[in-house]
Amino acid sequence: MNTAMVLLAIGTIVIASLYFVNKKEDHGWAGTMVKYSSAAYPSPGLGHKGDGEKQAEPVGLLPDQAQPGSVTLVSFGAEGAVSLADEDAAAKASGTLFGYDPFKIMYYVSAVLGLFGIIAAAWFHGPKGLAGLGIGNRVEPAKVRMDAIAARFGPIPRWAENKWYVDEFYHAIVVKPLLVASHVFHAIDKLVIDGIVDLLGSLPRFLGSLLRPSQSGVLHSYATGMVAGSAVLVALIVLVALL
Amino acid sequence: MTMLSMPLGALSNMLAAAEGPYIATGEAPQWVALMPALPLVGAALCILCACLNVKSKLPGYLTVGLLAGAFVTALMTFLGGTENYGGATIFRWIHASIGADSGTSIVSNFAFYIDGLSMLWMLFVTGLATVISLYSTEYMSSDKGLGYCRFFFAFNVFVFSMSCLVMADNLLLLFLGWEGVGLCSYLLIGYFYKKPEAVAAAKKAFIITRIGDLGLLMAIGATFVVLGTLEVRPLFEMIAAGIDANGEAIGGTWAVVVIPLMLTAGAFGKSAQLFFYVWLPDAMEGPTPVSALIHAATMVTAGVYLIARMFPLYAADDAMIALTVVAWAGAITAFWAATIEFAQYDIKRIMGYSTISQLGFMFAGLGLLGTTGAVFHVFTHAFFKATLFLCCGAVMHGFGGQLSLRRLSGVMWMKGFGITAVCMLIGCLSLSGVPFTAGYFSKDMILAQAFATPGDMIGGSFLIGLLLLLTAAMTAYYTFRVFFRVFVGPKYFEPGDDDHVMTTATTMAMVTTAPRKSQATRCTPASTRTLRAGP
Repeated sequence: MNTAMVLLAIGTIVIASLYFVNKKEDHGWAGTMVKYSSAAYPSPGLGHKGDGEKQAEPVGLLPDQAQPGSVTLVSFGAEGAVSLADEDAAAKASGTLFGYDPFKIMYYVSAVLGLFGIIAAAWFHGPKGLAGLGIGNRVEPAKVRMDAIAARFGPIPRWAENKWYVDEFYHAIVVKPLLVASHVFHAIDKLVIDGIVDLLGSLPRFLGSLLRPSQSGVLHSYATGMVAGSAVLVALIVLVALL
Repeated sequence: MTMLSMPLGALSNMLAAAEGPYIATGEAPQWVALMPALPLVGAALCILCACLNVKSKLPGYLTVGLLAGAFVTALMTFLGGTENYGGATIFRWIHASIGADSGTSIVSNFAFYIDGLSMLWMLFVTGLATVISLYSTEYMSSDKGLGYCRFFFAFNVFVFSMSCLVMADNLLLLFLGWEGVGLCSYLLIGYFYKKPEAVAAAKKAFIITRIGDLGLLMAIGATFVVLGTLEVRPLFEMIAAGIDANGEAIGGTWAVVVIPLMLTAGAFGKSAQLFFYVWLPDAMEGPTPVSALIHAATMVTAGVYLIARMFPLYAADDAMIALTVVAWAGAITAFWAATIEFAQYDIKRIMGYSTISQLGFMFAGLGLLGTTGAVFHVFTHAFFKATLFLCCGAVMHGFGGQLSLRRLSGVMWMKGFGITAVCMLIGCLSLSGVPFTAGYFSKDMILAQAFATPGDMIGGSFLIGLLLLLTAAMTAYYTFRVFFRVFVGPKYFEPGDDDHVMTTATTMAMVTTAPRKSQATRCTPASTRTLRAGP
């Protein structure tokens, strides 16, 4: 088991380097893979360089780089791109983060946010000492600073622990109505559908019960019936012939 | 190519976009079929083992070997480069016709389509499946016999189905794989079928994903009606040309809005997004290797794959309605799952919600037109989340199924858990997006894309970006909440009730997580006492 864990952990470290493979042309190894696939798409601010082409300008030009008359990507789609020489439209082609290229500034923003999250976790849950980055104060297994904070929020932590009661909500609006409906349909099935089927099924039995006495085994009655039938048949033929 | 003569690079990029996606027109080697075939052989051998009542680890080792073979095949295909990209027809599958017109005959071969996307997926699916099956041989060893065979049978069928899904040349084969992975997910979540919660979780996962699958099925039907074919290459060619089966323009019609939305429903069901996420945390009832492979690394990314695969159709809509839905749904799911994680105490469930949250990032990345970032995040997430799950599994295995944050502390300092803790730390750092880790680079691309994509293309992209940034900070917090509470601090543990791993002796399991095999011989009550007396 440890072998597998270590292999995966090493893999996790190693694959980070894939970001730098073909960085310039395709924005990383994944970009190269995506370029040769149906998911290839000139992402705003990124753009996939076409196969075999020369290094192109960034698709999304930043406002200060956009020059009058330059052509920039404002519309994608199967119908083809619309080219606009309008400077304002060029500025819109790729968004910025307070004037910075998001793909550059994000390295710092997300790093700060990630470290902030870890420090918060250390402060609220970390043990005393170096393992808690020196700011934790947990000395007992399950007693943390967060408990006091959570207590201030009243029932909200309990709601969150119960997953915002989404399962209960689904149970109320989907599962329960379905159960009720299925009981209703079961009743309809039993009463109406089965009623009709049973009625149809009982018809032959009813007819049979009417006809059954005729097959009594008494030869006299059979002979009488035969004579009566023949008489009716002859009468019919005569009638038809006369008409 | 005409675009070379264009004066501006931007314009040629534009034309490249207008020309449509890359379509691999070549022929892929026939041996790519080994990738699904080897796991299928493994599944058959597992059945054979079950029939012969094999009580050893043989099915496990057979699986590891065959999956390694599949991985080597994937690696060879990858190393062959773009020359290996293309289609490979294995056998005629469905050929049906009721007329001569287009749209009246259907051709669906059992054929594979290899391009960058399927290659990337196959690399990590087979690679991780190999490593995780190696882990499972040990993890499931308490259940040797029929259960062991059953586990590895479903494991193999899963890899087979996932390969079919990812390499499918047509949407019907994709659907076959899609349902196959759903079935294996059901079988493996409900592996401990004597446990009512596991059975309930399996049914929940199956039914909820099935609701999404209806959307996928409808999308496949609608695609056939509108475009007259289900094979991906003709599909992409038509979409690139912007015409439907009758040669009329598809831009601006209902097809480019409704079909992607229906596909999105299927993707959301499989990838636990928006309204469909509730099954994934419950799916943690399955054995931990299953959580690592199916419910973290591979199957749940099938939704991302589906959207990436059908991306030309999504992008054919000028208004980007479906992509806006995908982006917002992803961002909201990412945030929503993160809020729940703040107050969860079951480490496996925290990882489950974290998977939902990270999948939300991927969907947001796709919706924000940043396919590279999304696909890269799928790749890195598969690795670090699998690592985290395997570490959780080791802890769980070691403490008799104990998973509570409140009942574990200082695991790192306990005998035999040093390696687990270090691996966990590596996974946590990557998930948190600490600089220079894999997760940092991939998440960055998605976050940056949110701000690079203008709001008039994807409505509210700036707000999505802010939501994702907030979620990124929350991710770091909840990840390290687990690490700081479980892995460091004063040594303390309460053994669980062991129903997850189903071993009789907690200490047996304790030893299996030890770094050296020789320690297995130390499985005596005495060592148990020292261990317990230690903290």
